[in-house]
Amino acid sequence: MIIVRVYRGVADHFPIRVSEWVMVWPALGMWLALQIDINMFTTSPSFTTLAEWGSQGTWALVVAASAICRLAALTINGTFKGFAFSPQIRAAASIVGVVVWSQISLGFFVAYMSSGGALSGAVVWSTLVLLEIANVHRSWSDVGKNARDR
Amino acid sequence: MDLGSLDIEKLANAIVVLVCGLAAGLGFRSGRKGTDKTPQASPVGTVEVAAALVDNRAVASLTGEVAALNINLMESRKVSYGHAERINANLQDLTEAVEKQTAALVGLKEEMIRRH
Repeated sequence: MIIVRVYRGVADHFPIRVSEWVMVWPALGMWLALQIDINMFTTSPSFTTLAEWGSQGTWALVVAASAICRLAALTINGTFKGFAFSPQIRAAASIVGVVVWSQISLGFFVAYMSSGGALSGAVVWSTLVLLEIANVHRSWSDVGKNARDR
Repeated sequence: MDLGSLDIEKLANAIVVLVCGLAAGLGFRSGRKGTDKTPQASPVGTVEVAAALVDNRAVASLTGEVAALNINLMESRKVSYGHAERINANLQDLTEAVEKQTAALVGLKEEMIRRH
């Protein structure tokens, strides 16, 4: 049964994929926040640069795409044992995460430098970049193991 | 967006690309060499795979051994049956011989009584 199989695949791998599962939350949470608080970018000068780069709707799509990539990668991984490229999908999802969170962190940092935004935003959001870089290392390590075993 | 911020963006993006590439490259290298110490997935899957491998070979081997043992047992049974038949025949011959000796002794006893 496919539901049980997916559940077993996710549950067996959850302890070692916890850092990747955690990263689903900021993506989904940010998407939700951008949907609920439609004037978020006007509430603080910290969002000035992000607003220059794209509308709230665009950023919502970007973070939603990041969350979907990650969820797909974590669901496929371990569920379909015959599928040889699940580490590559996880690696791709981690790189997408680095790109998205680094741009958001950079947006906050540039806003601090040029528009009077808060530096704390850059510090907090860059934490996600560091976590994603750790995920990149781990997932590419699995890609290497996969290449060695084949 | 002024020139200063553009430079910061480019520099920051270059650093991110560099660090990300380094992490990916080092991760791939350690995984390929087998020096990565990160924990692996739950052993449940490994046990299942190991059991599957053992089943395929061990069961086939065991089936062959059991079939060979059956053939040996059947041959042993035939040999044992032949031995038992021969022993029975010998015992019957011995019984008849003892009966003849007994009859002869009885005859001899009667003869001795008549003479004395």
